[in-house]
Amino acid sequence: MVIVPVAIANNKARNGREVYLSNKKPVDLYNFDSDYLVRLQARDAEIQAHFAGYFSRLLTIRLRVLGISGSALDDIRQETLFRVLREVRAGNVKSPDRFGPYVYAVCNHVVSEWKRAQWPNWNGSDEMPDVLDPSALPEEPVRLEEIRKTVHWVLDRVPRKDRRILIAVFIDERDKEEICQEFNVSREYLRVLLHRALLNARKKLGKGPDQLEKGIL
Amino acid sequence: MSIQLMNHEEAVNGLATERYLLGEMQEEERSAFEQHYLDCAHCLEAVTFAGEFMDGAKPVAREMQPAETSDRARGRERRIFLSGLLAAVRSPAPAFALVLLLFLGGLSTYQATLIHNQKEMLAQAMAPAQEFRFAITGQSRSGERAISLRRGARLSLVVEFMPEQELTTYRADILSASNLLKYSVPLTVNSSDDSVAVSVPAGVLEPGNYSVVIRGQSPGGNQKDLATSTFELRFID
Repeated sequence: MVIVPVAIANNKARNGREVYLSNKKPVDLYNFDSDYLVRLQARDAEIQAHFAGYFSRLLTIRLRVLGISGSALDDIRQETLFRVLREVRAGNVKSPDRFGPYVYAVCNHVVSEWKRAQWPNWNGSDEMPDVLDPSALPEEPVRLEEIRKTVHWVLDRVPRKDRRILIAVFIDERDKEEICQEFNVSREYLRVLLHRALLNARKKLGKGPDQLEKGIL
Repeated sequence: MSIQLMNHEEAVNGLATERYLLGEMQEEERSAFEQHYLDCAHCLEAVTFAGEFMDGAKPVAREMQPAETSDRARGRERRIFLSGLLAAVRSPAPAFALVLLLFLGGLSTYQATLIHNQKEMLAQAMAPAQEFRFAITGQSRSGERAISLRRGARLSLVVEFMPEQELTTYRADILSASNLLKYSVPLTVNSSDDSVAVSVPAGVLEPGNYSVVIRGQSPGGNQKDLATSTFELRFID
């Protein structure tokens, strides 16, 4: 598998290549090795950008799953990235093959501190700004616009009732049980509805049904 | 403590991605799925794709929600109107005339709505995109150089600076008040230039104080800040 660090991908985007949600995956599976950690420890700009881009997206999704949003999400994500980077620079991260789970474990610690109301337990330093904020990447507005168009396309095509359910889930972020009662649907139906919406989005982005049937979403 | 594991088949058959994103997993199962997708290209992509889809759905749903709400309100009004109408029709004499009237009324409303929607679509398609240009030089206290515009507008910031011979690449960085990089634009600069316009969609920034830093870099990698200007961004919608 060819791994394209974020910094290199940026250069391609600057040279006029459009950025798409599906074809240019910002979070492609990365096999972390000791060289990656050595370069991260040495403050290699490309690797730092890749680290920030890769884990920012994953942590954002994960924190939303945990019910955290807004500025708390931003703070916890940045604090997690910072602590991991600090430990890497101190040479305390020894198992590159377990780097992903390690980042999630640090995230768990930060979330626990936040929940125990010990927040802010900020231990930041002047080094913080060199963890690049992925939302600052030049292609980000293009990517977001592409997502917006795809979502619009999907929501325009689902039946009205399904659209209202999806809107209730996405916007109000209300208790799912309450939504199911209101619309008289089961939790399974809600899951299937999301699954179908994602499947439609995939179709829109050109993934064939063969891949979809094989479970390659 | 035993650690729960999940393989790819279990993840796909159990709609793990959807259940994960809907927050339906208990801690152990969630952890098992996370361990799995951090090591599985298909599931990692499914999670990130779905996560971004859900993120993208929020603004779109917000755009659509007023229409849904007003649809519901119109539905309620329609029901009240119809129940009043049905009460009047209980006497059979005016029934035929009323049905005819309703048919003609419905037809003309349908045509009017169709024409209105088409006109609206045309107006939207033909509307020019507006760009707001602001010349900003040097530092300012908060509120002194406040830029107020709509989120959907494009913001063009003109910054004065002098290119230097030993610098070959330039970029403009927009930093938040806490010095976080929020936006970065590579610049094409000629030696005779004395200013640059940095154009950004206003909606990518939150309201607040920012600084624009023009940075140059030499072939050896040395970086130099050539100009810094500050501004405060406010939205009027």
